[in-house]
Amino acid sequence: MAGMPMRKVSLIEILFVPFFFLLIFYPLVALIYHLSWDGIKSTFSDYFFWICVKNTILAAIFASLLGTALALGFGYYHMFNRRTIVYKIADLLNDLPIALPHTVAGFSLLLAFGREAFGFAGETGLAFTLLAVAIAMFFVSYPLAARTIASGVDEIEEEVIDVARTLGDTPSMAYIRVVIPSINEAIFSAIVLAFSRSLSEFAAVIMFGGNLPGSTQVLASYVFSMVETGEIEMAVTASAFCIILSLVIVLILRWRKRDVGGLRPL
Amino acid sequence: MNRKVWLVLMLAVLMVFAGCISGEKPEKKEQQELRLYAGAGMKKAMDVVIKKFEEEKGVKVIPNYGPSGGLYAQIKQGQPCDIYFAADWKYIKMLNEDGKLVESKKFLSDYEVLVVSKTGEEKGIKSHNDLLKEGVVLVVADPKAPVGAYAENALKNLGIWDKLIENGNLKARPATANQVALMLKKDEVDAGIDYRSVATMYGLKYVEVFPHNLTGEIVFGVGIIKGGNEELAKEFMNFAFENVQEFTKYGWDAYEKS
Repeated sequence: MAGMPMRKVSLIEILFVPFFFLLIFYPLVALIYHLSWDGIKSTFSDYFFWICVKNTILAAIFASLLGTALALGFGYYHMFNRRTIVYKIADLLNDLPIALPHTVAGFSLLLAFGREAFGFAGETGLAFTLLAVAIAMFFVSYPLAARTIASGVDEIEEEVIDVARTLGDTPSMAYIRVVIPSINEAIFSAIVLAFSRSLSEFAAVIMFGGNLPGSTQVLASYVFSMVETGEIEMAVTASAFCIILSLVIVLILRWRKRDVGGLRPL
Repeated sequence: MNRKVWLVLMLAVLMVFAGCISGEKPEKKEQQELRLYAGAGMKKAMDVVIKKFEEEKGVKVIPNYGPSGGLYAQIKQGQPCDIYFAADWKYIKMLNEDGKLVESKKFLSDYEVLVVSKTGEEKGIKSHNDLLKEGVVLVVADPKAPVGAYAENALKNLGIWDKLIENGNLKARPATANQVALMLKKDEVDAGIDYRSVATMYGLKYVEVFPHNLTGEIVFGVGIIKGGNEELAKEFMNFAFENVQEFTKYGWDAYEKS
């Protein structure tokens, strides 16, 4: 200790470090610490677990790509059409899916796309299918993507757009050719955030997706079920799997960020 | 500021948290309080009984409604509670085994019933045999919720469970008895299996009652938690038994009678 150079530690560091480690890092470690070999074995040999993994990843990829695509549309409005009524409504309603209790979200999706309204699409409407799972995930994760894209768009210098416009681009051409390429970092963050959020969603997914083991169950509801049955060891394993999955996603983002970092325009 | 100050502060924060976790001691207040935990399905009837009890005894009842399994976990982890009404006798039994109870009693019986929605009725679903017909949309709660486990038992004992999965008529496994009821109420599905109490509460039509020898005994129980306000809890338990008509209104049977 004595030999180490003393460094001034700011108040912010004093507050941040303990809270971060106690409230964010420690719970994750506690979970990993409770992993047991038996739990891992019985979870990984559970056929339904792997179906859940497959369903979750497929639906979450679909939801995050669709969410980001739609968010790019919102970004366009955010950049060029802020005064329109569409933008004002979209901006206002953007955060609603986050604020809604998720069982309510699932129930409203069921009412909206169930057979009462979408009976032509099948005997249960769109409900209780893998598509329904993806829609439910999309519903709760889109707001994150939209916010991320919007803040990415905010960082663009107005002059850049002006130049593109004076060179004869229409707003949509300028958006596609200038804006989108220069916010690819935000786009990537949006996808990752939406994907992670989709992984964790289960209330809406249970209600609208069907939660049928072997066909529409997702990881989060698998974990929930295991906790409810008292299969704590399997629940811990499945949760740790979720964490690792999210971590992989975040690492991909980091790697990607470094990649484009050098190319980023000023 | 140097590293020492930094360490001291970090320790202080940790201690505050430790205090939050372990320092809870129930304080005696002037007005007696009863902390009551109950399965969410009982809320309507329980609220009536609680109100009566409060008026009669001049005490305050603090209810905590939730899924019975979740409440069980909370009690097991030592969250302060005086009396616990569980939607499944198994939780009372488990608490007893954990040594957490001073007294426990079976309280209500419920039954699984086959509920049909408007469309289900039009499709002519009159008994469990009709569930196998082509194009019937059936929901049974997730087996992790007791309501789903009992329903699964019944369908298995009737020998139609595997067929229902094979022909794909089983479309969804919602998480709770209430979600099953909501789907039926909104006519998003044709048929579902739910508690008679829940079906009654939602004003749903049921066409078949599954006896306990098919589902297993469905009993709601009550337990008095060790170390809580045991006296008042006992009073409330007796009061609930005296006012069991509030519960039978909603489709339960008093346990003794069944």
